[in-house]
Amino acid sequence: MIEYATDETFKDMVAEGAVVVDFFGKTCGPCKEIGRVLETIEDEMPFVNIVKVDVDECPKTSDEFRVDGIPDLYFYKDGEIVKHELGAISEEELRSIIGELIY
Amino acid sequence: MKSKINSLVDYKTVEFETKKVLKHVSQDEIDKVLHQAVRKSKKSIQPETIAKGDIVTLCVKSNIERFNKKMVPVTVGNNLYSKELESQLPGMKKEEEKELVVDGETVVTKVLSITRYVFPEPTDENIRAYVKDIDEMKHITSIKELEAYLDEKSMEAQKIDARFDAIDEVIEYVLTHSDFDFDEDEIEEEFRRQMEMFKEGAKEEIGKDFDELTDEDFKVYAGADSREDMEEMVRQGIEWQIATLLWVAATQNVDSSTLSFEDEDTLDTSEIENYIESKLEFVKED
Repeated sequence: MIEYATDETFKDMVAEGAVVVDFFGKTCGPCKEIGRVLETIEDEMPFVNIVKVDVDECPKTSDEFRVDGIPDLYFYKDGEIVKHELGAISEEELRSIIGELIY
Repeated sequence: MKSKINSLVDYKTVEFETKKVLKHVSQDEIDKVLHQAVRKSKKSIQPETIAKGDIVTLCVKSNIERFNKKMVPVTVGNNLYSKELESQLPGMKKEEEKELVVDGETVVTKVLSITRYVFPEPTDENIRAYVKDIDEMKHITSIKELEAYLDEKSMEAQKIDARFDAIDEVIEYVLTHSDFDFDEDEIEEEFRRQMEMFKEGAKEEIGKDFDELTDEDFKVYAGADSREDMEEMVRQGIEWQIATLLWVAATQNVDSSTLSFEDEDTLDTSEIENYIESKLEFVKED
């Protein structure tokens, strides 16, 4: 399931379970590619929680994470960051990380 | 710049692969875009029996921790949970319980739910609805036009890659076959400057002083196996920077003694790049 975070909702959205966080920008080309891959993953694995954070709409959260490049992906397990991937990442690599995260 | 060129290979004499065959976009790439166009119209159904691609919830019991869960969601056949277990699921029904074998161990598996997404066949209408908010694609009115657009985009991307590859090939040949007299003091001064930047960056990113960094930190942060490996990479990078600067300056008759590392961003490489690009010949595959 893909959901969009705000600065107010972000912390609650990553507090439980396996969550993929995607910091993105609307005009960023590589972000669109990652976005497409995440949508495919949502169709294939609707039980994976995907939280999208628009860096322009969520300045507070983006500052907290010191996001200075996008796309920027964080992988959470029960509120803890277990992996961080800055920049473009292949679909295969993303699937593999998600597999480790949920199982 | 105190380093100097002893001998320089003329880049116009370097032989490289000039004929580049451009491949048509793959059906897989087209299918991915078509999928994007119809995905919002998907419907979910609850089929009687499991087929590959279905999203199922299982209750698994065994002596292996991974296969001992009251409720585990699995997409059958994407093999992220267990290729061996998933291959035994097709044909099972909801509420059915079966003893499956994984790695020689028995895994009692009960199917709690089965969901299947059904995507409509893409139509010209779907395509028009999908592209209407995408500036560079909004002119597309049919699947056929979409395929032609993707083919063109794919070939443009291949041309850009081919140009970069050819430029890299020539640069590498010139720099590795020319001879440079590197000034050790110049390298050492730049090495210290780059290491200071690295230390500051590492402190900010990882929160550790340089002396506290482990081999794992060097691997994650610098792609190096150790501190020594990272320092060697920096030194080699500096030699490469100097050689590139001296070469580009020489092609423009710029006095190398007036050069500094900052000139890396301002020296004009277009003459070299244009020459290499002019030699490339693009041919579309049949």
